[in-house]
Amino acid sequence: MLLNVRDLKTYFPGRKQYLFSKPEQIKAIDGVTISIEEGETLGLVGESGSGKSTLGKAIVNLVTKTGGTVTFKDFTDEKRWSNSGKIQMIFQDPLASLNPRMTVGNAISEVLKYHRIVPKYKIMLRVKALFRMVELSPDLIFNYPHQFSGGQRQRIGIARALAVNPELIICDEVVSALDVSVQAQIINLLKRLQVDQGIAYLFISHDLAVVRQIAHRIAVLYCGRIVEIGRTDEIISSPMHPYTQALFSVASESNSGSMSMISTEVANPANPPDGCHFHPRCPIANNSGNFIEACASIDPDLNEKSGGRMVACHQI
Amino acid sequence: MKQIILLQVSGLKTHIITNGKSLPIVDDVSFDMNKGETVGLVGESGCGKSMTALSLIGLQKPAKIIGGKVIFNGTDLVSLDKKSIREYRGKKIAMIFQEPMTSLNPVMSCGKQILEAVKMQGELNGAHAKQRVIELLNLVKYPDPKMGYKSYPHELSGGMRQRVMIAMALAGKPDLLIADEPTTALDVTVQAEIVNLLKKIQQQLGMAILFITHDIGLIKQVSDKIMVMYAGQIIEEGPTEIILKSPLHPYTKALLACLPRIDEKMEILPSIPGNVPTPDNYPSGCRFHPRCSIAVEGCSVDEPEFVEVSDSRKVRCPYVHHSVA
Repeated sequence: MLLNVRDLKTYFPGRKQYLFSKPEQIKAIDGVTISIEEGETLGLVGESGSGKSTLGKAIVNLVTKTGGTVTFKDFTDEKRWSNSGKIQMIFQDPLASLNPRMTVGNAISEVLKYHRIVPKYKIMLRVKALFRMVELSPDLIFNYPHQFSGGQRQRIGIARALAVNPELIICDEVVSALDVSVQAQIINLLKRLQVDQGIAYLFISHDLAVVRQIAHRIAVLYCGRIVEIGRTDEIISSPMHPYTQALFSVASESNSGSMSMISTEVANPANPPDGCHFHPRCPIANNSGNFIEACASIDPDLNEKSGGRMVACHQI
Repeated sequence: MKQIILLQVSGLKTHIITNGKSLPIVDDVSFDMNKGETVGLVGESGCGKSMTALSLIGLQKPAKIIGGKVIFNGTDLVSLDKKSIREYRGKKIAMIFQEPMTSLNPVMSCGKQILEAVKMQGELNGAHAKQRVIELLNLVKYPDPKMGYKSYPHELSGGMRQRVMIAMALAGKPDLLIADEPTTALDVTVQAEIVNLLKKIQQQLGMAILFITHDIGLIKQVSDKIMVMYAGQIIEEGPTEIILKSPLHPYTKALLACLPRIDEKMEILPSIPGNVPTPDNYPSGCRFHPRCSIAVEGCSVDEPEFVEVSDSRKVRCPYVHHSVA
């Protein structure tokens, strides 16, 4: 087991109702338990606002955790592994994460210097090697970020993440801003790196078709909770949770023509519905305004159904 | 059914002038649109699809239209001055954009903003105009129009904001709606709703829609005809189903092949090598030749013509013609 996330919670302070009252809590992540094996890709999908990015950030301590534990390999002390650089994160917009006044070669060598990965005289060699790894010409290391196209910038982002020999990379919507023709190049690159170096990914994306191509397992997040988790082909061929079913039917029917829909009112994490967060939109629990009682009052647990497949639903 | 031509664009050229160089953003674009028809304009970012749309209604600034005609209902919009084009823009031709939040005024209630658009038409006033706003909100299936009238943009979800934008665009009962990536910023579930809504409204009002998107999967559900753009030029045009089933141009073929599919997993995704060229260094000859799988020596020299290969189907590549029966 590479990464083990247990009952992770991240609450943000929300609006105050009165001047001196306690602020309400926005439960961005509300008790998430996931694990990632070595060399595995876990796809994390959900609508916007479901907490996908917050979960990624909470794992690398970019946002403070309210509760729960994250353990990485056999490190017990969280501070030690979070400084080791063994978990890296790549974001959607690489231009925003690169310093515009620094050549890309320098940007990467900074990482090498900070973590003392290679002796000083070998830094440039290593930077060039990293460029080759992501299929960029090593001659480009003296260029500035603005001189690259979107796809090339994302490659630089990947090269920088690779600089510290990570074992897990959290990819937060890394291909969402790219054109389809370039998107496929980046996915292929990520897959090849996984085969070559055994890197595990937590692949966060709203695009189910992309996740399908790269993930071994998929976790579906709704309003800060995992509603279903399981092997990619199983989830795609037979989604069990009504939310997963709806999500995938919209995605696949965009390939065939007609569309069936659930209501689009996404639950508000500041004031989530009681019981199962999904019940107001759920086609099973909602019988024209009358809800099944268990769904509307009791939190469903994430139960194992068969061979690693977990679903949080009373009706299955 | 007889088709009445609504919009005729011929040889449209829009250039941006920087550092004394004139860069072709839209290069010789020609197409026709019939009344009530939906035409999809697809292409990757930077290919000039948005600039084409903006040029139609005179919003291309700081770029300049240096040639071509945009004939809408018999009038050439390019030749009109600032004042007279406003008779069309926002009235007969309306436009909605990708990110509704940037197009809406954050300190004005949604109802007031739609009211402004209604009053702009110069037909209704006072209570009648207000009534019309409620009608429009009903038309775009806003759940509670009276509440919607009072709410501010930040209080709404992305889908609701886009509905407000659509309501505003419909205020002038347009003959042509230009929808520039209207669903790109939305979740898949919401996206489906907005697309269905646009289709329904189109049937009710009989307007034509120019649907601009980078998402080929989406275009299938909306448009009768598609045009594929690459590097400022339209490279393939034809009925949607036929193009998606049997694309002719190597770019269209490659683009369709590299769409990730949800129903099958591929070990290595097909991709197009290289990057989309920028206007300041378009390759000579065919602009796609450096990335093309069937390019021959002549491709880097001769600029391919946009030729009709079969009924209502045009392609900009001389090497695919013989493959059409």
